[in-house]
Formats: sequence, C-alpha cells, structure tokens
Amino acid sequence: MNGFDVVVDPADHAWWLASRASGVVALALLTASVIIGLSLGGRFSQHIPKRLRPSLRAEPRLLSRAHEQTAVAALIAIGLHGVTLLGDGWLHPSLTDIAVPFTIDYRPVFTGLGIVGGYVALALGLSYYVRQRIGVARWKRVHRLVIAGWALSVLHTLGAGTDAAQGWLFWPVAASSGVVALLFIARMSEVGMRRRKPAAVNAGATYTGLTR
Amino acid sequence: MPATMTERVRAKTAGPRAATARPGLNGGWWKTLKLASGMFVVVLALMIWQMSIGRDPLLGAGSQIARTEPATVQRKLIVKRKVIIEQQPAIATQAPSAVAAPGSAYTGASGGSGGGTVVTQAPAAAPAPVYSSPAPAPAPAPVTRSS
Repeated sequence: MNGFDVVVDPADHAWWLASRASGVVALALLTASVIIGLSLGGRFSQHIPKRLRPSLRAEPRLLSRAHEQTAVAALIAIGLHGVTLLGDGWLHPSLTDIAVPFTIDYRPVFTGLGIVGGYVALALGLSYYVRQRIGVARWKRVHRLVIAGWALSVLHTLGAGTDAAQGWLFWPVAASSGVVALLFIARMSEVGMRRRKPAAVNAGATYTGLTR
Repeated sequence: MPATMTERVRAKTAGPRAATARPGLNGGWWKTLKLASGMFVVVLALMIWQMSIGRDPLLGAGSQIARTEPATVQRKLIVKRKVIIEQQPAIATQAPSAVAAPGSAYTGASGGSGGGTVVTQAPAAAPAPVYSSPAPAPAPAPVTRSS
C-alpha cells in the first residue's frame, strides 16, 4: 500500500456534502429566478426567437410561473443548505451560528454575507404573496432589491464555498453573473429612459406655458 | 371515444377546462421540484466522486498527508570506535651473543686461590614482543630546576 491511498469515506461527511450540494442548487435556482425576473420586467420578450413565441403565446404566464417556482425552490434549497450544516461533525455549528450573521467561526464575513443574502431573498421573495396588502407599486420597488440578495449569495459562494475554485462551479457562476449583470444594466437603462420621458414632457409643458 | 355529435361537443368543451384544472401542485411545480432534486443528486454525486478519489478541495490533500508514512527524524550519531586488526608475521629476534648479553654476569675476582675467570652465559633471551600499535610517545624530559 503506498502512502497516497484515499481513506476519506464520503459517508462520514454526508451532512456536509448535502449542505454543499444544496447550496450549489440554491444558487443555481436563485440565479435562474433572477434572470427570468429581469427578463420579465423589460421588453426582452421582443427579442425571443420567433420559433419560441407561439409557446409563450399559448402560455402567457409561463415565464412568471417559472420565475415564481424557481424562486420558491431556491428558498427551500437555502433552508436545506443551512439545516444540513447543523449535522456536520467537523464544523459543529449551532443554530445561532447559521441563523445570526457574522457569528460563526468559519470565514465569518463571507458566511455572514450569505446569511444576510438568504434573509433578503426570503423576505423579498415571499413579499410577492402579500403584494396586494403592501401595494403593488411599492412591492415592485422593494422587490427589485432582491438582486442584492443574489449578489450577496454569489459573494458567499465565492468567498466561503469549498468548491469555489473548482472549474465546474466557478465558470458557471461567472458566466451567469455576467448574464445577470447585462440584464440588470439593460433593465436599469430602460427604467432611466422611462423616467426621463415624463420629465421631458413636463419640461415641454412648462415651456409652452411660459410662451403663452 | 365520443359516439354521438353531442358527446363530441361535450368532449370539446370539457377538454380545455380539464386541462386548466389545478389539483394541488400543478405540472410546473412538479417539474421544478424534479429539476431541483435532480440537480441536487447530480451535484452530490459529483462531490462524493471527488472525495472518493481524494480530490476534494478541502479534504483531498489533507487525507493524503494523513495517509503518508510518519516522517522520519534524522539523528546524526558520530561513532569513532575503530579497531584495526593487522595480521603480521612475528619476527623472530635472535638473542645477542654472549659478548654483550645483558644478562651475562661477570664475576672478576682478582684475588683468591687459583684465581681463574668464570664467565657465566645467560640463557638466550626471549624474543621481544611485537606490538602492532605504535610505540608510546617518549615521556617528557624531567623538569630541572636550578637552585
């Protein structure tokens, strides 16, 4: 037997592996939900290939349903990510460690950012179900901040994730982050243009008023 | 299979209604849950495989180090014990002749009756021992003081 035989039994680290896997799934679902959400709000449906449009016409709420379902699934995965970590025999985190940001000993800053991001995603995601109570316009404004929760989750993954340096995780995260960033910039520029239009109309009205 | 025209019409009108019925979780939710579960299983399998081949990002290297033989500590010991045994033929040394034999006794009696000289020859001297080791250094000369 040489000196480099593997002795690590994955069964000994089952909780930790489950936590890592659910964390990856949570980020993937959250990213998908954010991408769909950004696509929903803008006029990106005009850029959807023609061959896909009939299916969207047949199911007009397809994207919004996908957005909702992936978001809820992501929240479940985030919960699983924290709960399974409780069983880890090496880290031995307490309920406080996984629920209160910046209290855990293991990479406290990045882990804390992840916890904050989880809370942001939970609060702003579930606010969809009380949007009538808080007002749709207000809910929309608040719901936009969910992207901050996603950004914190990405930071948490890259800073505290065990597999962050692995190519199979790093490159998809980098690529999807680029997509989210592009969609976000496009969306913000669209919102900015919409705000400028009424301002221009008002300015015109004022000018006309002055000449009279 | 609708047999009559009425049944056909009923089937046509009931079709879309049946399709839009939402008994609990609809197909979309199940699809999403299945997709998420499948993703979880795939990622978990990948991590288990990584760990089992010793390439886990955190445990991989650590386990290999733990598995290596315990490190040997070098101790330098200087051993200066050296015994050289040389086989040399013993040189037979002949005893000097009677003229200068150290053991010869000379008794010269000038007086006496008959007054002959008796020279007694000592027996042949034993061969000198052969030392393999070098001869010890001569003792230092005694310090003399002049008073």
